[in-house]
Amino acid sequence: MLAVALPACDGLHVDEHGQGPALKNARVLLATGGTPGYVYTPRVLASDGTYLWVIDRTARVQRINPETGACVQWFRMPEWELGKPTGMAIGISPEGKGQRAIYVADTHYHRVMVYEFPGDPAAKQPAVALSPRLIASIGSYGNAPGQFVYPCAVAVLPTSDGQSLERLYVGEFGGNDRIQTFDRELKFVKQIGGAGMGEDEKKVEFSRPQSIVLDVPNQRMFVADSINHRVGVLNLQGELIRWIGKPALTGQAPGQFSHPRGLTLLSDGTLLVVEFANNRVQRIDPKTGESLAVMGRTGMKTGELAEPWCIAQVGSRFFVAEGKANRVQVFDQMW
Amino acid sequence: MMHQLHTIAQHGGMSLTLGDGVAFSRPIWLYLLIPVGIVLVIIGRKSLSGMGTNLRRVALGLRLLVAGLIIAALAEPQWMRRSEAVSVTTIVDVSRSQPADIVSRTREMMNKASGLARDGDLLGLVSAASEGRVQQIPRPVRIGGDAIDAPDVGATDATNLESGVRMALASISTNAANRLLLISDGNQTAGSLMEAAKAAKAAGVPIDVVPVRYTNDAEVLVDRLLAPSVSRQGENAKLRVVLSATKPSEGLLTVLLNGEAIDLNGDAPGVAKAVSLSMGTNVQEALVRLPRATGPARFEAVFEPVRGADGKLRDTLVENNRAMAVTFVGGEGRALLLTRHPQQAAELMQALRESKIACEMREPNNAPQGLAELGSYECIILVNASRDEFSQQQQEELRSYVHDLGGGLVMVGGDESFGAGGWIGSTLAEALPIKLDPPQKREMPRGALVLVMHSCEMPEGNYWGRRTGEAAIQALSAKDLIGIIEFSWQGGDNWIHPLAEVGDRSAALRSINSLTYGDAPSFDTMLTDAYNGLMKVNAGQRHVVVISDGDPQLLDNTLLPKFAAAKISISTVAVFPHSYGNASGDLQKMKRIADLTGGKYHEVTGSTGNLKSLPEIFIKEARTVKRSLIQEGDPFSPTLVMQSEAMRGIGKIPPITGYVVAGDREGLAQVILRGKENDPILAQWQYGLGRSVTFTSDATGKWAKAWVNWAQYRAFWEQHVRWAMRPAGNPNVRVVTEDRGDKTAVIVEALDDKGEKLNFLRWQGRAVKPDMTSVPVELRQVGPGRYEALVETQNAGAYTINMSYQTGDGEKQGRAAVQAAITRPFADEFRALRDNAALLEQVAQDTGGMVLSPEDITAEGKNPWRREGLKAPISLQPVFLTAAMIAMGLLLTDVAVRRVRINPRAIAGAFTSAFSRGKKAGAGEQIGSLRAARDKAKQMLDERSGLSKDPGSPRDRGGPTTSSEALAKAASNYASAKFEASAEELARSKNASIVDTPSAGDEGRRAQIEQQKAKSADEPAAGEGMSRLLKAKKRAQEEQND
Repeated sequence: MLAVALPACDGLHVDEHGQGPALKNARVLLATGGTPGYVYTPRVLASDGTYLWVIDRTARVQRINPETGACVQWFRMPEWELGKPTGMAIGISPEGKGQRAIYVADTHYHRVMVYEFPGDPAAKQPAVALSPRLIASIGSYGNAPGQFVYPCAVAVLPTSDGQSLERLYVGEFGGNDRIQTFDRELKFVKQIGGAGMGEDEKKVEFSRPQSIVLDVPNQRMFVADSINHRVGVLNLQGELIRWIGKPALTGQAPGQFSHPRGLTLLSDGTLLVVEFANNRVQRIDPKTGESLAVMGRTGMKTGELAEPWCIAQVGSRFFVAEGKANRVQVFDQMW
Repeated sequence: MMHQLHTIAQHGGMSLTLGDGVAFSRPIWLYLLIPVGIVLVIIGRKSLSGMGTNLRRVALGLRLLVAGLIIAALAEPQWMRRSEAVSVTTIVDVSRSQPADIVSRTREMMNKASGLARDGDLLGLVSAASEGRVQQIPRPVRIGGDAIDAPDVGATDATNLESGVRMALASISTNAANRLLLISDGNQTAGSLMEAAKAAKAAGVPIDVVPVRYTNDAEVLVDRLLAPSVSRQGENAKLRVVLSATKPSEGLLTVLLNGEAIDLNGDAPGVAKAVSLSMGTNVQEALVRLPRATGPARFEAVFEPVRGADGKLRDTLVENNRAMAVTFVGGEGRALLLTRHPQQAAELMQALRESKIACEMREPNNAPQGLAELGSYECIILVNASRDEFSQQQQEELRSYVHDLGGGLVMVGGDESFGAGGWIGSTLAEALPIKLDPPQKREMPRGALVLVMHSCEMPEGNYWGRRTGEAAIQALSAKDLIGIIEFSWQGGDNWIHPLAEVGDRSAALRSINSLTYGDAPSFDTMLTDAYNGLMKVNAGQRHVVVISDGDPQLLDNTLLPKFAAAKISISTVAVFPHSYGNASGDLQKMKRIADLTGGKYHEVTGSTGNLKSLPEIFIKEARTVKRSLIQEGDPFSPTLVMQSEAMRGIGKIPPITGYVVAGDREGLAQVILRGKENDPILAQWQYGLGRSVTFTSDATGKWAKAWVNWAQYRAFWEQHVRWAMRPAGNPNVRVVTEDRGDKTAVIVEALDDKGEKLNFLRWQGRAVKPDMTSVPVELRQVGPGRYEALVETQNAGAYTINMSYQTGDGEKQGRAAVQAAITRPFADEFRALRDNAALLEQVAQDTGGMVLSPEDITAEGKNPWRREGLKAPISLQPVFLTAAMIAMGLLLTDVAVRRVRINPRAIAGAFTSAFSRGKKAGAGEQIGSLRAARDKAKQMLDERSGLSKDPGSPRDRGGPTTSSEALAKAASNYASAKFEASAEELARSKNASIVDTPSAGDEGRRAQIEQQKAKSADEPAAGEGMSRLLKAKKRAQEEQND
């Protein structure tokens, strides 16, 4: 059968299976392995602006040089036998004073761990094992306010002066399927949404809100409602603005999603959405829901994707973590 | 340039290398270079003769180059790249006899040494215990990296250094020179390190060694416990305990019989005997009265060291302080009945006891453990027993009990037996005289089973996923339907195997092997797929089994009620969930799925050892769809189709109302009774050394009500059980065993009733090893009435041996059997009392390696990554395609050189005119030349007609028509000749250049014309170009007129 290339925006062609071209100038930044600088089933990425942070199934939190892939600092989660984290954010510390902190959604221990952000690594020093100070451990297992079941998404809203924490957002699945917000004291504030299959588009319902990204200037946030195959656009108070995609319309065509898990917001206000089951990245206009580009295709070769979980940006480079391929790839802007 | 010819012995061909850069695989083609070159030169001289010298040389050179490249491409050139990196694969002995911290000490040592590695050098890790396992494939050395957490090293009760070295050789890098680094005490209990060293040497891989040195100065081990193999009830048996001591030691010796300590002390307090051991071998004897019960009597001797006068213990390892032995206490033959339904077997038990067959009843979970204990029975009877009541090990032991120990097996039916009990595809099914899968042509309602496989994060998830899938598929019959769903990374929820008939199982098993074990996010979608699939098929029983860790979402509240309404049950198997106990939402979810749909919930958690129960769970679940094999209905009497020894004297068969459908087995199986549609009801056959009987109806009041009160009920069962039973032992046959290193001698002395030696007996024997494999035992007569066989017994565990012989001929032919057991209580791992550094040193010497130590690993010349003695690998990259493409390009260039005339001046002029401002002048030149030509024509006309040069003068205007006409005609002719010539004028102006007047016919005019032509020919390029244009135009017009 002759593959039909559909013209898409940005000149990137999409084939009949919704697959885009291979990621541009892709290379493997972190290969498979169990030592610092390598990864097993990486599922979390974050950026501190200079370095890339990754968490994988060795339960290591690694700080990575985005150019060389060398691990400069790392620490291990205190417990991991029951499972490893699947969410992380780096943002303003609840202790304020303009300090940063690392927020880890310790998924299988049903808590969010807040660590002090480490100092800059020394130049040319091999991976340093850290013992970061634990600022707080939020939550316990349950479905009451302030409790968690499988927290998987974390987002940090700073105050307007950027010096302290305004609000912390935590997404969960496993039956809770909601977003909870916490104040700077890390006390529960409110719940956004609840478990649902998304049949009523007017309701805020989630089925595995895997990622939350805040668009502070526009006072809105984006939520990857993964199993409902859509992305939610809400204001920072959790009120629904619109849904992009529909549960019933899951698919491979541009603009459709299949298990969207990772999100990153670009400086032009568009959104990159990583789809776990479609093995691709879409660039979406959040105002219209239009798909502006489809990038990546299923496969294990460099430039292809196999179970991508998340995406992060450091400078002008983009990084995607793949669970099945056990690697982190870096690629260039394709639009 | 060095030329090297290498003979490749394997392929019988030659290759040519030029220095370190290029190699040719088929250098024979290169012989064509000279002759082809000569031919091209000769041909070229002729064909290129019309070219200029320089051009000819260029063209010839190109031809020679093209030919040379084509010939080179035919010779298969390869670009040689030499790697400078060194890869070190560390093999660490992690068997139990090694220090517990050997892995961390290895890591420290390698971290210390890694500073000496160069950029690009690699480090790999292999563990060696009972087998070698790759822990890390060679990868770039990173300082400060730690090892992979909790490496999986396999069983550690043996040391197989050969396996470790071979595994390392299999995983070495092909892009670097390689060394191995072996860290061990050198004591191996399996395999041959020297053999592996030979392989390493042949591969050019040196082995450096780091001996782990130790000496157990003070050690006592219980070498063996000797007891008679066979004895009679209540007899006394002499036991001998052999102990070895490296130094004089003291301790307490205890002997246990079937777990209870025997009083060795006489009247003194306590039961243990105080012993003083001298250096070397010591033998302690004990006389023990054997129990009255028949069967195996297990003895165990245990030595406990006590502190000497100096307060020191003279023993280091405790693992080698005990030994075991088994004595078979003989008596009358006895049977064991295994059933979970005692009431269903009550009548049968009664009948056997009345027949004077000693019979014991147990539940399957209380079945004898181990083949030795099973072997103490002459017949095992299973009554309505399902497969899931027995572990895989027990099933294999039952089969081996019949095949290798000559035991008898009688399998009696019921609604949980045979195929309906999940025995299809089991190892025990091989021992039965019927096939449990009904014949294809038999019309039966079928079952449909869907497996939903979620990877979970269980250890070795791929392996266990495959085992469970295979177990379920094997338990189904060919007509049943099987479907498999998983979440694939290449497309999400997916029918890996759409619902289809099991058939010969190959397609379903292939699908199991192609599972990708994706991390499924949602039960909703997978169960919806299963529901939709099952609703489309016609099946008597429809069932789903889900294996998962429980974390996929389940939000659709309408889904489970749909299953329940359609009578589709879902059983769930929770494996390694993320949380446990009642508070675990995931486990509650899995339970809810099973409860709401009428399925069963299973939990497999805790240790990886529990994963072994997974296949049994799936077999049990597969039975849910196997209820369709039960045939029930109106009473009918099975038909006697064959007389057998066991049916002697049995008359009319009473009716039955049900049985489990099965099929005939080819070969020597005998079907005695048949049911409806020719289904086998009663069958028997010889299987290995033993016999088996199957009765697919039951022995109770459910299907065989009329049998219970049948007068010949007792005779029927007694005769069939006795037919299957192993023959009784001969009390005059004695068996002893002797340890001979890795082997054990089995010595049999056989006497008849009168005490005369029995000679020339025809023995058949089999030994079942600890791994449940069996080997034949060949007894040879070595003396009067004395027979001997050797059995390999190097592995730890129990060996059970059964030997039977036949006596007499014809009607006087008889059978007898005898058993023996050999035990090796502890792995040879614990026999070694000191290191074997000498073996390691030999290995290093033979392979060109060195003996290193942690202290000097960074010393000069002891760097694990040193280059001395290593050959850098060369990678070959084929470049024949590149050569061919260059040849193609040059060929086109050659054609261009010869066919395209290149005028350098014209090219220069064209470039100049193209880039200069005279471009316009060029155009003007052409116009100028046209004007000049026009003026000339006018001048000529004027001259000829005597007119003034001014065409506009009144005299001209009013002048003779002829001149005007002539002028106009001349102008017309001129114009036509140049641009618009009519046919008539063309004909006239064909040979003329400009004008042709009626009066232009004389020689003078011709001369002018010739002059004009000559002038035209000498005019600059523009004029020449113009004449070409004119000619072209004329040709076009001629064609048009034609």
